[in-house]
Amino acid sequence: MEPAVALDFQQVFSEHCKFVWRVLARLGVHQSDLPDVCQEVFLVVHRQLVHFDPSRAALSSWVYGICLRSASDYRRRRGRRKETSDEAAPVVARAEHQFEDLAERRAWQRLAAVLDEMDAGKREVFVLYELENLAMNQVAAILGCPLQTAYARLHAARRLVFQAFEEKSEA
Amino acid sequence: MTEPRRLNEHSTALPFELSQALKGAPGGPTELEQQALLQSLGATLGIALALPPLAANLSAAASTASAAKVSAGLAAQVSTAVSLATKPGVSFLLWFAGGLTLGTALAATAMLSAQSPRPQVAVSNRPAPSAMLATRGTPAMVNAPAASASAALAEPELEAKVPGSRPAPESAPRSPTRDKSAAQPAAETDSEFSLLRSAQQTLKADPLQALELCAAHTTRFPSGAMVQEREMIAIEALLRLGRVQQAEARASTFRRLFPGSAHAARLEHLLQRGKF
Repeated sequence: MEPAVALDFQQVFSEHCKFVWRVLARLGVHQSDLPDVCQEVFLVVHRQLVHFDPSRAALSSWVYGICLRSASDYRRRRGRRKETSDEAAPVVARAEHQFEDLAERRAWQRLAAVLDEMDAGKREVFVLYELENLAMNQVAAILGCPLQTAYARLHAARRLVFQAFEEKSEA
Repeated sequence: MTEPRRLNEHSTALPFELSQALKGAPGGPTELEQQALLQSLGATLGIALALPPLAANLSAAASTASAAKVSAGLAAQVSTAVSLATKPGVSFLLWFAGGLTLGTALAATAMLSAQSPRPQVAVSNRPAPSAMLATRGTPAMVNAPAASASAALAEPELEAKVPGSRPAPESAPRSPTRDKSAAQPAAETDSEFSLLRSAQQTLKADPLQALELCAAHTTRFPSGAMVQEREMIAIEALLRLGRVQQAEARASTFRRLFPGSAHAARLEHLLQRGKF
């Protein structure tokens, strides 16, 4: 039987391109690696789209899940690699908001460093809830964990973030 | 359970730098980054991709005199490309001619053409027929066990040429768009994706090198996630080298292992085309 609405890769790509890029960046994919990892995500989407079941999950949740796995694989690969000089690349601000952006982006780099130190579970909940503004039950569904666990991870992640930033402001 | 207020909802109670950090979280790609992604992904998959949402943003850019001039110049090419794309098979040739069919991104094309040495991008307002490959295949097993697939698809003759014994330096360049890097031996640190991208990039200029990179992929990623993409590149490389029988044998293995592949239609197209 033909599905009522055939999902078209072209459409999925155009609707989720910005979103995938942004989520990967927030999950710790380095700027210079974003094109590669983003494409890895879409290759998986391309291959798996025929298996996607809209009755089980929203398309965006499904894509979030793929992003999380790709970012996690990326961090594992990167962990095995020797650190390269582009780690210390300067913060690049978008030209039109250069000055106000710069302080915010530097602050983000500090937060990103804190997130890098967390385990994947805490980090993912923090990013999805605090930065992507998803509802907690959606976060739990994407991560495949009980709601209570998602809450526990959020609180633990927040504690670590606060600790780091309060220490820095005292220093 | 009531959700806690998000941190950015009570920013006054946050350490100042933390509230700044939340505002400074990275956003989406720039338009140029999006276009580069679109081209690269389209080339890897062999399909035409467009970004409809870009059209609104780009109409502003197109209002500048210079962009408008170039856009007008492109319009003639556009209409040719669109009319060609309606003929069976020709849209696919367009892709091989180095052009990716972009959606309404006329102005972006103009901007890119000034900055990129790549061949000019053709423009169409609708996806080429091959763009429908992604979801029109019959739902079936797409992922056969990768390890067995790799074993079945390994080509002994190529194995001997695998550059595994001559790893490139750790700091080998990984630039996404440089043909130069595509011609380099695969660096050990390359990801599965970048290895195949190098193969894809070198396919037209040096199919033998592309074939070697595919063999390197077989060796380095025996359980890789992109076995199908590798095989598509290898089959095309064999066709380009005139090794039609080998290409057909490999295609036959591909069909057996991946009966519902999203690449099936394109594979048949390649084989029908035969020589390059």
